[in-house]
Amino acid sequence: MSAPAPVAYHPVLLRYAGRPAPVGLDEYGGYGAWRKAQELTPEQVTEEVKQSNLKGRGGAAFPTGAKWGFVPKVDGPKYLAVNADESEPGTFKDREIIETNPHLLVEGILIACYAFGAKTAFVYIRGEYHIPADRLEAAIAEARQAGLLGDYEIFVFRGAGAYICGEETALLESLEGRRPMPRSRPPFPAVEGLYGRPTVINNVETLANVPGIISNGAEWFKGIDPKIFCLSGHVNRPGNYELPLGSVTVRELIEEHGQGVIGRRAVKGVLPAGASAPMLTADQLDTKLDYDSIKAAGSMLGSASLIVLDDRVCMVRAAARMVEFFRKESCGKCTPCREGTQWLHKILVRLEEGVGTEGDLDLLLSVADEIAGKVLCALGDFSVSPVVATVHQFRDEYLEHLRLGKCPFGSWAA
Amino acid sequence: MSVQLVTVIIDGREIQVPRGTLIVEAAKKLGVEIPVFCYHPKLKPVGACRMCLVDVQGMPRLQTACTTPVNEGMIILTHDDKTRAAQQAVIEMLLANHPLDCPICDKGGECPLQDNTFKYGLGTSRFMEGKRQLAKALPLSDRIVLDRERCIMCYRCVRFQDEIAGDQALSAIDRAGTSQIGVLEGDTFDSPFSGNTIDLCPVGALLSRQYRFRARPWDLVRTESVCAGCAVGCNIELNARGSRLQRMVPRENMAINNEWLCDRGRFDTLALGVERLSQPLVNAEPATWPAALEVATPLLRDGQAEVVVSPSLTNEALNAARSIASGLKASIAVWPKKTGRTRGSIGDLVRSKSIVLLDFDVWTGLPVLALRVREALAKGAKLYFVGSGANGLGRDTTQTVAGADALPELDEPISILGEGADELAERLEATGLVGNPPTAANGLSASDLREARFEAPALLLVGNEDWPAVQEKRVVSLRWSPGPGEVLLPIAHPYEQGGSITNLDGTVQELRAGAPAPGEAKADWQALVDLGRALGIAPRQMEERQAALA
Repeated sequence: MSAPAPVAYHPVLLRYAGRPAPVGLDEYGGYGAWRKAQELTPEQVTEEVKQSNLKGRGGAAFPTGAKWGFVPKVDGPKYLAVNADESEPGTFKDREIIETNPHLLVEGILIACYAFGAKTAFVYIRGEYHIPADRLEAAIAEARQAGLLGDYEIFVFRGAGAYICGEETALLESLEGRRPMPRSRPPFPAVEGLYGRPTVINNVETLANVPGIISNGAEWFKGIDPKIFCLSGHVNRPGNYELPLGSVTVRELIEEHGQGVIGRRAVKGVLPAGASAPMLTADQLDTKLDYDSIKAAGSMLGSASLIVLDDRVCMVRAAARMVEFFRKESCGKCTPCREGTQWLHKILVRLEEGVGTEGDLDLLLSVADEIAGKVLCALGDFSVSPVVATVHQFRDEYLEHLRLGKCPFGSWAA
Repeated sequence: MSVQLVTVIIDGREIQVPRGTLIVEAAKKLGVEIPVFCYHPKLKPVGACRMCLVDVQGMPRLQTACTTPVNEGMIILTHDDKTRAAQQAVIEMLLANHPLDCPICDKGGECPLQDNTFKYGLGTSRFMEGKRQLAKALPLSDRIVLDRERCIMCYRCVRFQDEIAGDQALSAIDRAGTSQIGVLEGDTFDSPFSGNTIDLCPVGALLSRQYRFRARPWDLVRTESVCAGCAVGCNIELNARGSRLQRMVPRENMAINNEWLCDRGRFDTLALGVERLSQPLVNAEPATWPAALEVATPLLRDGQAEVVVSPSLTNEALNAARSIASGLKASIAVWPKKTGRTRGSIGDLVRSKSIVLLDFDVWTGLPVLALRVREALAKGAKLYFVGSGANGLGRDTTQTVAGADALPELDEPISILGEGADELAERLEATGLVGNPPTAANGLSASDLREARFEAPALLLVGNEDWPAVQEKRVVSLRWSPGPGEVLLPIAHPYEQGGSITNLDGTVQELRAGAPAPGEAKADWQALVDLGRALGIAPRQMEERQAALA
C-alpha cells in the first residue's frame, strides 16, 4: 500500500545540502532562468508559474501565479516582500535553502519582481538567522557585482524575534518600522501593502521553486512538485527532506527518512504543521504528505514541519505547551487572541495538574470557539485547532488526569 | 463630484450609502447600533477589539463592521445568533482580566465597556482564575494617570496621538497578555493635547488627575459653553457637582474645534483651586458693593482716568467698558495686546491646499487650530513656515523659508496666518483664512483698541490679567482673583456667567454659567453696568453706545 521510496529523486532546492559553505555564483551557474525570464513578457512568466500550479510554501498554500496576477497594473513603485521569518515551531527549511544555496533565492526574487513589475525586494529574515542573513547579503552582493541585478534592488531586513512577524501584514508593519501587528483586510497587500503600495509577499521556498519552473517549464514542475519536509521530534534522524509532494506517507517519512522513532517507541501523534494544525494520530500515519490528503485527515500541511511525539508524551501537556507558545506570541492586538490564549492556557494547566473538572473540557472547547473565526489574523485560529483536536482525540487521557488528580505521565516540572 | 451609491440591506432594512462606506457607519444611518470599542469615527479603523463583528451573507467568517466597506447588494445581519454569540464572547474576553472596580472608577456611569456589557454581554463570567494585577493609577504626566488593569488595548489613545496630534506621545509596549499603553522609559506623556485621550478612552484606564474621584457622572450638572482659553473658541460642556465646577469636556463643532480641546483650555482655564475674590475690597478691607462703588466713582471721575480692558472679556463687558470710557471722556486701551483680525473661516483653513505661517507658532498660540491645520495637511495640503521663530508644527512643515519672497508656487486655496498676512494675501490672492489672528478669547472684538500704557493718574482695570506693576492707589480693578488696586470689585469667572465672545474667525458664541460665581461676584458686564450707574453714566447711554456699535 505504501508508495515506492523515491530513491531516484534529485533534490532541486536542497541540491547542495550538507555543504559547510554556500554555493558561490560560479558553481551556481549563470542565472539562466533569470535570463530566460527576461526574454519572456512578464505576463508569460506569470502564466508559466500559474500553469505549474505552484502553491505558496509558507503555509497557506495559495497559488503563487494567481497571487502575482492580483497586482494591479498601476504606475509607481511595487514591492516584493520575501518572508524568511520562518517562525513556526519545527520549521527550518528556508534556513537551509539560504545557507546552502542563496543564489537560488536571489534568482527567484528577480524573476518574481519581473513578473509583477516590482523593482525592489525586501527579504524579512528572522534575527536569529544571522548566518543565513550574512550569506544572503554576500550572494546579493556577488550577483550585483556580476551585473545580474540590473536596476533591481534587494534589501535584507533582520527581524527582532516575534512569531507574528511571519504573518504577512505584520511583516509589512515591521518592515515599515512599526510594531508588528496584523492589518485588517481589505485592503489586501496586493493592492495596498508595503508603504501603501502594491506588494506581493512570498515565502523563501516558494521563490526558490521559481527558477526551476522557468528553466524547465510548468510540466516538469508538475511532475515532481518539490517540497521540503522539516522532520523533528522523537525521530532518530531529524532534518530537512526534500521530496515530491504526495510521494511519501507520514509513516514513510518517519521510518525511511527519519530512520524511525528514537528507541523504537510507538508514535502517539504527529504535528504536521508545527504548532498550528491539529495532530495526526497513530492511526493516521499512512496519510500521504500532500495538501489534500492531510486536509482530508482533518489537519493542514501548512509549512510541512512535522513534529513527531512518541508514546511517552502527555497530550494534555503538549496542548498546554502549544497554547503557551501562542499565549506568548500573540501580538495582543485583537481581544479574542490576546485574552483567549491566556485563558486556554490557564484551563489547560489546571487540567494537566489534575485539579480541573470535567466541565473544564467543555469550557476549553467553548473558549476555543470564542476565539476561532473571530480573530484578526490566522494566529488566533492556529492557537485553538491543536487544542480542540487533542480534546477530541485524547479525551480519555484528559479524564485520566482528573481521575488521578495528577498527570499520569509524571510531574509537570519534569 | 458624483458619489456612487450602493444599496445594502442591514437587518432586513434597505439603505443607500456611498460606495466605500464602512458597515458600522451605514448601520448608524439606519439607526442600527453596532457596538464598538476600538472604532472611533475620527480615527483610522484598526479592527482590534472585535466587538463589531457582524454576519455578512456569503462570507464564511464574521466581519468587523468597522473595517469592512459595503458593496452593492451586501446583506448584513447585526443581531442574529452568530453575531450575538460573538458579541457575548468578546465581552467575556474583555472582562476576563478587567478588574470590574466600577464602583470606584471615574468612568463608571459613562463607560462604553459598562454599557456594552449590559447591552451585549451574557451577564456572567466563566473566568474563575486570578485577574492580571498591576499598580493602579500609574502617573503618565502631571495631568494623567493610567490604570493598566482596566485598559482593553483599543489603541484609541495611541492612534489619537499619532494621527491627530501627530506627536506620537503614547505607544503600545510589550505584547500578548502583557501588552500595555505607555511612554518610553524615563519619559512622560508630554503632549499639549493629552486630555483628549481621557475622552477617547472607552474604559477608565486614562484618567484626569484633576477630576479623579471628584464626582460621579450622574451627579454632574452639564452646561454647554465655550472655552475662554484662547481665540479658537472651542465648544465645551462644563460639568459641575453641586456648586463647583469639576471638569470640562469638548462638544463637537466641525466649524470650530472638531471635537478636540487642548490641555491648557481643558485643565488650566477652570482655575480650580485658585484663590477667588468673592467680595469687594477697599484698601484691602472688605466692603459692600455700594460702599466700594462710592469709593470708586470719585477716583475715576476726578482724574484723567484710563480704561484698560482684558482681551478676554465678554462682548457685553467690552461694550459697557467703552460706554464708561466715553462717559468719562477717558481713553480706552487693551492689555495684553493679544488681539488681531482675520477674514475667512476655520473651515476655509481646513479646506486650504497651502497654509503659510508668518513666524506664527500656531501650536502654542492657538493649539486646537494647529490640529485643524493638521487636518488640512492630512487631506494633502502643504505647510510653509516663514521666519526663524518657534514652530510646534515643525515635523509637519513642508518647507521653512527665511522670507515670504522665498516661498515656492503655492496651490490654492491659500491660508496665511501671522503678522503681515494681509499684504501677502493680496499678493497671492489668498482666499482661505487670512490675518494676524488674535490669541486671547475675545481678542478680535478688542482688536481696534491700542495697547495700554498704564500712564494715566487713575486706572479702571477690567479683567483678570496680571497687570504690569500698577500702583495700589487710584486703581479700580474688576477681577476674579485677588490682585492690586485701591478698589477691587469681584467679577465672575468666564465659566460662571453668561455673555458672548467672538472667536478668531468672527463666530459669536454664548458663554453659559456652569456654576454660580462665589460670594458677591457679578458677571463682568453686570459689574460694569453697576459701576456705570454709580458714575452717572445712564444705562440708556450705554444702550446708545451699543446701538452705535451695531
